[in-house]
Amino acid sequence: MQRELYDLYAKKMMMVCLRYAPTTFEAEDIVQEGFVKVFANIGNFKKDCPLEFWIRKIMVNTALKYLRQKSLLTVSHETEEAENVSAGNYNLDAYSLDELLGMIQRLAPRYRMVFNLYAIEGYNHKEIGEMLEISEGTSKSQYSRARAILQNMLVNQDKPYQEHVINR
Amino acid sequence: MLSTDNNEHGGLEQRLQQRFQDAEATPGPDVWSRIDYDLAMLENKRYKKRALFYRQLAAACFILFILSGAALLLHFRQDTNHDLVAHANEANPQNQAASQPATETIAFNQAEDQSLVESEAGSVKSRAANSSIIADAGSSENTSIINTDLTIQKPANTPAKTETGSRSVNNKKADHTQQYSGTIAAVQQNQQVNPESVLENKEQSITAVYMPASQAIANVPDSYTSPESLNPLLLRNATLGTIGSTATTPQSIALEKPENVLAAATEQEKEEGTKENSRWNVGLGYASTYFTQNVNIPRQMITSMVIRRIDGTPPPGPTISGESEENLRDAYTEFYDNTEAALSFNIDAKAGFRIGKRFKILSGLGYSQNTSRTRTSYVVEQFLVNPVTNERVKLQPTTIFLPSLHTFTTDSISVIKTDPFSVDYSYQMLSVPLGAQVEGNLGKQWFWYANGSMAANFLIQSSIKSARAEVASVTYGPTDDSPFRKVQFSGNVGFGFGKRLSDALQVSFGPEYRSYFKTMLTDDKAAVSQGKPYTIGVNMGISYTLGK
Repeated sequence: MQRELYDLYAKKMMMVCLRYAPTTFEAEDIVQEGFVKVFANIGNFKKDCPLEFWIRKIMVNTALKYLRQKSLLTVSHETEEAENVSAGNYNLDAYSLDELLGMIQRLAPRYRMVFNLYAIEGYNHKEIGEMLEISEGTSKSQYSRARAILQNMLVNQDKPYQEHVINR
Repeated sequence: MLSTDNNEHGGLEQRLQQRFQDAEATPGPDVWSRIDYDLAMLENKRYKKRALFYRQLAAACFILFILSGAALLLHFRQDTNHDLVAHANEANPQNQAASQPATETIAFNQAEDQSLVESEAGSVKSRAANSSIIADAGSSENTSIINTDLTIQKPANTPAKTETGSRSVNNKKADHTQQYSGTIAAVQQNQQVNPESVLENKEQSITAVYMPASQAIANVPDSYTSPESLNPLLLRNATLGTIGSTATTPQSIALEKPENVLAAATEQEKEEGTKENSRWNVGLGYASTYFTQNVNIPRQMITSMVIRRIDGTPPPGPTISGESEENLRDAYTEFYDNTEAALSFNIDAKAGFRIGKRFKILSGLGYSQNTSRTRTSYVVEQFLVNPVTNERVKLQPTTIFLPSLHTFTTDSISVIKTDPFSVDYSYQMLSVPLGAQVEGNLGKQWFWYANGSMAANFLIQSSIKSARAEVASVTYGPTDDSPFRKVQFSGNVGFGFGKRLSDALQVSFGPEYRSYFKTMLTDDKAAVSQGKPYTIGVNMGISYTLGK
């Protein structure tokens, strides 16, 4: 039964974790830890939401904890250059999923986390602030920066974006 | 600037959400084995924690049982002593009078002779404790007798009192003197340890009856010179006419010989002890039962495999050929059809404590071996592929039962039809029952009983044994990672008839039903709905009533 559940959701959850983790190996670690939590707490699942949503939430929380443990969620030092969005147009559909994923993974950990939580998972800034233990305003400003950086990447896809980020 | 710049949940976010919503990425092949390992470790940790809890619970129950037993035993002994005193006093009315409470004696003495009590009030009160001890001594309790001697033979402990008491007696009238003579006579009855002093006292007592009071007091030996050292309770004996009765009927003195009283008391003690001890009994019970394990295996596993294969997606479990798939389906059906209860047994050693005339509380230790049996004609072979050498390794064949309980982790599976053979599922448990029994008479020798109990059952070994040599037999010990529940509770009811073979020995016979409160499989191994196991059988018991 556990194996069946794993087979059913492992691929989707791997993609979720890849968006948060900087490398595939770390994403697999998060998947492993997340599924252990899922199986250990499956009895607590109250069926008030879809099972996939519940598992996804566990994966996101596990990723958050993982990145925090690795001290990857500390504030990064960035140059103002990151906020200078160059004018231009882009077509998101022209990019493959791997390319989009690569761009998200290139974001600084804190920006990546805020961007994922807000843009893809659909959390609001207040919830993100509580999850990351930052203020709502900080969440907003970090999201704006992350979004600007991503847009720069999309516009300048041919010349890979040089993110001036010092990862701690 | 893009149109999405001022609208944070604009096109960029929506399109990213759409792209990533159902996106998938395949994790590495070893991720599941790492998860499986982590889960096994987690389960092991939980089991250890649970085992520790149950061990502590069992230890606490055992200690509670021992303490309760000790308390009951103590209580029962005290009852015996009290009854013994009562019986001893029936045999010797003087002792009965002597065993009255000290306060009553004080009150009585006050009424009898206010002046005497006034002069001795302090002494009497201060001797209250000794009085009660002496009164108990009259009931032939050995330790109390020793106390009596100590009280009497240590006049030095109360020199002032002795002096005061002597003076008081000398100044009183003859009836007061007679009181003290009577007191001495009563004390003689209580001197049961030292035969010489007993004889001496007896002579003195008889002499005291026929001699003047002053002479009687003068003849009191040194060890008795202090009336105050004597039990003031005994004053009451004298007042009630001990002397008078002995004077008119000297034979009563002979009847009150200490030896006779002691013998009578000992006899009473024996009789009373016999009656009281009969509250306790020990017994052995043997029940021959049929055990239904009610284990279901996940039949739908095969269905999901078929659907996935039709869809063209790889199956989640091992690969399986079409023929094996058909055999697997038949093996499942066969397991459901051919699994049946098998002969099992249960042995109990219990101690019982009677409450009232009809009820008993029972507790003890039990051992049971529950067995179910399947007749099958399918052997399951599982294969693993070595990722390095790409070599196919065949595991030892099993029946459909085991691979169904564990997740299919092998690479391929083959189900072969063979000649029918039997597979026994055996579960050995230790149990700690606690229950109650009610009994009623059906005549002089026959009786009926009905009982109910609950028990904590500890699985000490489970085994799956095949009659076919090539099929692996599996045995799980108490610490092994087994799919079976290691601790669970059960309820037991039974009734029947019994016969008393003698006053102490009785046998009983009757049907019993035991139901376990949880399933045999642990929750995480129970992929499908499970039934609760139960046994039905006949119980035969023999019990022995202690002390009869």
